[in-house]
Amino acid sequence: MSKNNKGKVDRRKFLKMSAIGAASGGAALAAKNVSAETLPTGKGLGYRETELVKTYYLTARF
Amino acid sequence: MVSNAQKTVNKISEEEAVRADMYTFLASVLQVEPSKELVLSYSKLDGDNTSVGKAFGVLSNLAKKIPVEDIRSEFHDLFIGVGRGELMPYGSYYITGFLHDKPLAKLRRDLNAMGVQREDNIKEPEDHIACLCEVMAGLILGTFGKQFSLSEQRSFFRKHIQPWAEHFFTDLEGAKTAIFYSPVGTIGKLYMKIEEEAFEMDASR
Repeated sequence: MSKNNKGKVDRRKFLKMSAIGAASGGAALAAKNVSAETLPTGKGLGYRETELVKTYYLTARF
Repeated sequence: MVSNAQKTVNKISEEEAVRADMYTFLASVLQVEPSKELVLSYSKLDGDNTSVGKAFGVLSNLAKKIPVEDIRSEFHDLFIGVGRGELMPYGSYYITGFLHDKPLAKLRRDLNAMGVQREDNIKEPEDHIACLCEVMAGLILGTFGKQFSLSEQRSFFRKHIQPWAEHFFTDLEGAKTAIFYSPVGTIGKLYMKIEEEAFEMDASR
């Protein structure tokens, strides 16, 4: 196994151990609720596409 | 547009999807006072036995017990306040002691180079922690029109998040006004460490 591949496998294992159990269902659920909730009517997820750039905006309080 | 955004989302592995969820969660909980629905969704969270999982469990219990109005006023005291809140969740402030300083300029330059822009009507500077978390989620999911490689994600993380985010989350965890937001601080702090370590493991550059 190359060093790079080993790194990838370790990373995957590490993330599985430390974050996945904790978050799956949990954070995913909350994240989904947020997306649905902060969705302004008729608008996207907070991202819109312009001709040249993908535009980012924060669906914040301003 | 949702349809446009989704078209660019490529298939990613479960681990990477969870990373995006964690960032989206952190962005959502830190960008604005929560609605009733959002608090209800936090109350349904469940955690496993890992430290992150336990902190999610604490958050869930608090979401069940604390009235939404109190959570909203806690958010206000922490981040908005009269004049200023207890905490200043901005990279520039943490790194230099001043808002809108050089770190923000560097961040803007990098975001610009990546084709990521702030919507015109948003006044919040981009180095707000919620904004940075939302950018990370977008880089992972490929929401900004292209899939950003792990090394591009790592480079962004190391330049703009790693220098201060763990410090901020530690402050949030121990903030005087923080009750509901204390486990959020714990989750963020632990997750920043996880990201940092995970980025070190992938040897590919």
